[in-house]
Amino acid sequence: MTDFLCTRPLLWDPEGTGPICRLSDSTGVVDTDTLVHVSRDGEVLAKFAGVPLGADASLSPDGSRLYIAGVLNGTKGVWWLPVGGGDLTKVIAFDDPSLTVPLSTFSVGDEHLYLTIAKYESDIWVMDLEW
Amino acid sequence: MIESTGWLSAAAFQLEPTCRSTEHPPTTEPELLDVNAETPWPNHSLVWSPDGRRIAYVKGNYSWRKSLNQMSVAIWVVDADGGTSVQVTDEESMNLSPQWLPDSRHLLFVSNRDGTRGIYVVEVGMDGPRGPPRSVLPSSDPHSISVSADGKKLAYARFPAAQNIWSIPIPQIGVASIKDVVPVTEGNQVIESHSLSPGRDSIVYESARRGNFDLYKKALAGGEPTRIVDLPGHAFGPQWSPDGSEIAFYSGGGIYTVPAAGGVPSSIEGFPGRSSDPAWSPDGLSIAFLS
Repeated sequence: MTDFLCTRPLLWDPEGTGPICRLSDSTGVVDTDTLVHVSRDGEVLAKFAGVPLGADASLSPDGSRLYIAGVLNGTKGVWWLPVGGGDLTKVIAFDDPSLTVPLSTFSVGDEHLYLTIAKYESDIWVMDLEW
Repeated sequence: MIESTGWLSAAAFQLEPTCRSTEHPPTTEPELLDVNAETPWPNHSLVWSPDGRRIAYVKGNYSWRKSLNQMSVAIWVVDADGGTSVQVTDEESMNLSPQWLPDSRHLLFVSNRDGTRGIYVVEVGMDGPRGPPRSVLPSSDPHSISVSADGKKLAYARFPAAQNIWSIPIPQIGVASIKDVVPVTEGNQVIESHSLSPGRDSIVYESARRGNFDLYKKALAGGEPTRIVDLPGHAFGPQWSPDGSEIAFYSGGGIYTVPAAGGVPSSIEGFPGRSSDPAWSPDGLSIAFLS
């Protein structure tokens, strides 16, 4: 077994060989640019290096594509790469600053991608305190 | 170091900035007060009691300070002279932004312990809380709070939460713009994670639209969402099983499954520590998780 830490995202490869997760450093808090595919025994089967920094990844319904939301070369968006290995292809650009995409999770359907978008507003209030 | 930092707290509390810190620069070595080895999150939001004897802080969920992360987290207090930290709030709900009252015995804080975010107060003894927290301002959507120097005024930054699911067509070629999204869910709620049904006709997600984070499912064709899990605590991270019959999720550090049609959740025994993020294997016979 290889000693390393996994962080989100956590999903299974389409063949059920083992989970795919983001490789973390020993503190468990660093968001690296590498996903690892491990066996059920913890052996590293493959690494996907250079993927976007971010919070989630999801497989296409047919299991052929691994979609990853995150930040790559300073831009936010969604990319996919073949599960068997290959180049990243950008598919969604987060090009509207008024829409905040928290990169928490997303789901991939046959024709649509589902993600969360946050709407922010904040104000300050003051009240009397009795105690 | 402790004296210097204690004075800084008093100065901030009294809102009387002076140059005293430069008159008496710290000359002692830092002293270790607490080690947080249980979570990968840093301690944060440290605040001295006005009498300089104790420090309240938050142990986890640092990202709340910059996002809508609603991870459960507790407030702790440690003596300024060292010793064992005592937990003063539960860790089954989100408890943040501690602020001492001038008596150095009561702590105000932000919590979603009753579902929606509000402001609470708890009396803190030497060995922990004295009685349960009391609501000061329920359902006020506070993000952080600050008490005036005389303890008679409370300021809070309101941060209403609205984080919904949207969909966007996947282009066959080229790059689509996020501007093309259309809403799937709506309303004043925070949704962090979701999962499509194997038939891709429904989506399951967690939402605190009625207080605690519960699980809901909604048909993508439209219609009202249906609540499928209603637990005393929060439910997070739903994942639809490959055969569509069950949904796995985590709550209170444990992994559960519930029928996709709704019902009584079943705890999966034997998961070590605080577990989260269940993920079904394609054959539906195994669940991977983080712990």
